[in-house]
Amino acid sequence: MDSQDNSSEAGMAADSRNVVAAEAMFPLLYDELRRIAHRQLELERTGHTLSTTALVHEAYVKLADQTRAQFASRAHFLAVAAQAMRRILVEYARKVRADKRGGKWHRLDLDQVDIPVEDRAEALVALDGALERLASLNPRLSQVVECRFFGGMTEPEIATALGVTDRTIRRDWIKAKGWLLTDIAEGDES
Amino acid sequence: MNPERWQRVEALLDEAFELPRAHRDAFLRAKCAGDDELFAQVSSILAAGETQSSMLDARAVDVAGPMITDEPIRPPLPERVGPYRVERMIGEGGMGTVYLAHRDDDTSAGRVALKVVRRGLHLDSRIVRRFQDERQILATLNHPGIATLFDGGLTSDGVPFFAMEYVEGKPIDKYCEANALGIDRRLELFVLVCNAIAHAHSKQIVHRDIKPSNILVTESGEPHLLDFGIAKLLDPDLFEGKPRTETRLSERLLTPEYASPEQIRGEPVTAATDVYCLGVLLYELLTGQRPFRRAERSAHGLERAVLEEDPTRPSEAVAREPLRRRLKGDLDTIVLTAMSKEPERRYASAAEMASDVRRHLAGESVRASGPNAVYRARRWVRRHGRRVTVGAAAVVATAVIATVLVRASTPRRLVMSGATRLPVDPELSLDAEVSPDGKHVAFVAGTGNSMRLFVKDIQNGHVMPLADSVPGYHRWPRWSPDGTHIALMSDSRIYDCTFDGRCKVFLAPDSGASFTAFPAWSPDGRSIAYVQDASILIRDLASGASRVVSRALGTPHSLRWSPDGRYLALVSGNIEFVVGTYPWSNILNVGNAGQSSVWVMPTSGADTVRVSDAVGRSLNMSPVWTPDSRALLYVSNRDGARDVYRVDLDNRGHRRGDPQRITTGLLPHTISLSANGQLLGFSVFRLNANIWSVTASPTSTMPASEPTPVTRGAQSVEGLSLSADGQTLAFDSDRTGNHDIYTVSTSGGEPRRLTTDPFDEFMPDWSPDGSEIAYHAFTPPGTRQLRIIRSSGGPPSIVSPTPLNQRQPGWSPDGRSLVFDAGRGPLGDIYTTQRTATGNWTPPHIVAMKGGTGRWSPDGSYIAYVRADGIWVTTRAGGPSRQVFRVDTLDKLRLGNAEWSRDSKRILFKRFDGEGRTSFWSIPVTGGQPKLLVQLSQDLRSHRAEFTTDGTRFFFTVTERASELWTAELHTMR
Repeated sequence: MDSQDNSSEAGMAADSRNVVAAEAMFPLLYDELRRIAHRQLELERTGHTLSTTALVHEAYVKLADQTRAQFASRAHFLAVAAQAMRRILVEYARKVRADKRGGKWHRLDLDQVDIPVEDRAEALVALDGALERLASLNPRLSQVVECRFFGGMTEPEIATALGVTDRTIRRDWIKAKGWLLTDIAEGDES
Repeated sequence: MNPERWQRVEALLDEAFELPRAHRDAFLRAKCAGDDELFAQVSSILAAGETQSSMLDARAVDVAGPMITDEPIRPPLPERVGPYRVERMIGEGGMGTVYLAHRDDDTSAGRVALKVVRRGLHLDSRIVRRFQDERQILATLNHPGIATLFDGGLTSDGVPFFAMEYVEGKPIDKYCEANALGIDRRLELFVLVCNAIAHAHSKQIVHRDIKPSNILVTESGEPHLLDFGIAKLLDPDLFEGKPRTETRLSERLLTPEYASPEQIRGEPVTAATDVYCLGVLLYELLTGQRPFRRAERSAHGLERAVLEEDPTRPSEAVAREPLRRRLKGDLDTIVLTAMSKEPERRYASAAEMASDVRRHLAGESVRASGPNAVYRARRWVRRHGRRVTVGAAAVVATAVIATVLVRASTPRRLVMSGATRLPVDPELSLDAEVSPDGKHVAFVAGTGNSMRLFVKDIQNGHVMPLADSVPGYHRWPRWSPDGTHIALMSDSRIYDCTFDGRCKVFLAPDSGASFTAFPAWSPDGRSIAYVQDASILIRDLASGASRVVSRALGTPHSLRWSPDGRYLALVSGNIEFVVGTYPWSNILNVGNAGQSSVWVMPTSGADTVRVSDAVGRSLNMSPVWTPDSRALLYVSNRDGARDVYRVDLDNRGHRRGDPQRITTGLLPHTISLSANGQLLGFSVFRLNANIWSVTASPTSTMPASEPTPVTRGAQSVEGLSLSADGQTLAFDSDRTGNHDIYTVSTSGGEPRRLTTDPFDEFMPDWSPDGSEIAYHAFTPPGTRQLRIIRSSGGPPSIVSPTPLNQRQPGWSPDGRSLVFDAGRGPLGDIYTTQRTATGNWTPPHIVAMKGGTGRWSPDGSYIAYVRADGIWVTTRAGGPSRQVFRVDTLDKLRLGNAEWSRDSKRILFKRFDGEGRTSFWSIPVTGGQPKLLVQLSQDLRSHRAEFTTDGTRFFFTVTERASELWTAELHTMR
């Protein structure tokens, strides 16, 4: 986890004014999103879907209000939120997996549609590990996945947050997705 | 994949991206010639990257959402926070996490709720400040219905935390449901909640987030208000009515069902906001429903409903016919009044709402008549004091007040001379208002419970009552600019009287409003500015139309229109000092010198600026304009005593330079100025506190003898202690300006001062052998320290090895130990310490949590102490505490200290209520019914709770008020 944190921080340190703010915000965001996500469950059960955008937006409004923190940009905030979302969801996944500990080790098929919860959990935990490996090769690729998959950010938002063009993000995404899917598949076979 | 390999893969991918899809495969084959593995890696990544993945192309929440089903994952529990061991998490707020914890050195009695700033957030100074604000707010509040603050500090990692009372209970709605409470019980509970909110309001604190989950009711049925995390001080800075972004955002995030219209609109919040929320709460407690809740409603729809829809009447929201009948009428009215869309149409305060609920419970008719009534019937049953008569042939006595010039460097100095006292008979004379021509003074005089308007001719001294036909409690006469009319405030209306004594209602409150007050004539006499509840309005007298100039925060008062017509001067804060507590029928509180500010507001209402000092502890009030409209005179205590100050203004009404003091030691209450600026009228107001004694009768609750004063002279007295031989009283007093420890014979005579250092000393207690007196000294930079002085005098010694902020020492009967309380909050913890053979003191031993004024029983086995909720007893060793007497929160009882009977079997205490009635009681230490020993007449008022006794004689302080009317000439010197 440490390497991931550092790499993310490095990416966000593009705007050096926010390094402290980002550090300060992370635990808060983490807690806030966790709280909101849990609460949203109630809605989900009544047919609403949990939306990262809504989650993050609510956290944003709340935190901007509570802390009156200045973010270099909304995109910057979203990137930190994405990082927090990743940790939260992976922690949930780990918990589900821990509850099933001792059970059968499933073969993963990420493209299967109706995967049971425990398989989703496996997939997320595996993805998290793969993302860490990816970060050691190219931190930005890992961040792009974090922003898009975990943070629900759009391409322009990610581009702004990471300080590159939309086109680069599109290519990064293909590279990252391709790498991750092959990496996980390899890990499975070995 | 190793990094070198990846670099090659990535480089190939980047090149491939530049090519059309169809050419990529050939390109890669060519590039990877001879390295099949490389080709396989690159092309599989490319292929996988360009294929839709049901997982990665989805969103993580969709993938993970179904996992978020069990109990939420939690961050690890900190083991210790400061001196506390954490047991479990009990809540999470925006800024902090709340844990149940207990002190290491204590058992179950030491359970606290610990609020800790969230990890990481302590790096953010704004968060920390806000957290400290909450702590400060809790420290300011001392009410049984509000969780008490115990302690605070930093964890070893530097994260701020504070410890407060742990309340074990159910949210109020669940409590009512679980106990199947009837309507009366629910209303009683609700009144207790109102009382707690009213206490916060009295400290200028608005809770802003009143809802069932923030009100826990304990097993014994006492509600406790929690979470002042978004509470705020009614900062006079908000007077300008500019909503802050911060406020708006936080309001928007409140549960919309409990948010008031102004919170949803992002407008400033006032005490009226809490009244609204109380209305919603009452609605829910009575009907089991929330007023605007519809199953299909979105948050946005709910917000619109709060803004636009009238709530269904409570009686129409319930199905059961008996309940409908019960709610119909008064209860509908009370709820709907509190829930009026416009803050000024609601109850003016939580206290007022509570009293209406109490009236309903008592079967009396309620004051509110609903938001839509044409008039709110506002007829109060007043305690009519005796009709005031004023000596018609009063002689003008003359006295000259020493004129003092300050700051000779200012170009124009204002000099006062020829100060003249206008003698009048009644107990109190206030509101000296000089007529524009300087020939008359209008004023009000009476007992304090009943004040009437008089006009005095300055030349011949003749005094005449003017507004005999105006009912009620007269205050605040204001001459029209031509001197032919007087606008007068009485109860909740403004009257207009002419010199022939004819009066008519001038400005009555609009429907739904509580009062109109503080009239200020425009210089041309064609308009009048006045206050209606929290708003400032201007009425055009020709058309009769009023316009709202400002919906200010708090209660603005003491308006004065500038002679050039451009500005209104006004005051925010501490209205009690001017007129007492609303409804202004008693000015017992008039000595309360809390803070207030003077403001200047253009008559357009925009850009109101403060011209007195920045918010501090000082009182600033009663502004009057100089004839050129370029300066204000006002009363302030910024240098200590109350005096008249002058502040110059620029063309925009902004302050120029520092205020200049123009009197010394005058103690003015309110001031006025003639049109030419040369005659100052003012009333002087003083509070005197003296020690009195009364002897209990063995057979009756009437005193055995008339109460008699022991000391005389203006002073403030807080703590009292009677020596073991019953001959001498020790007390603290500010008779010399500094608070010192004195002794005086119980038979009277001149007090003797014992302490002479520059600190303020309080709360003396005689040692059993009479040789020493223990007390606490307030030492810079603001902590209290236990000290001992020999009763014969000499230098004091310091009781050293004790925790911070030690207060209120009490001797053990053997004279070898002291009990005291220490801590940062309003109540400390109770400690004992022992004197060793070498004269040092042992490290303190904690015997009880959160209490004050420990008193050892004469047999040495118990220590009695006082908490906000009553009298408690613990053993010398600090065994479990036991409550002996419980304060009924409906009763405005204040406890100072609890004393022991000689036989250690009974505890004696004093009670006095808001009306100033004082009585002494005794209760067996085993508990039971308290027995009334002495009931004093209402004349002997006191503002202090402390007393001392030998079991038959009771010594206590009595507060007296004195006021005088004066005029003085003002000259401008260059």
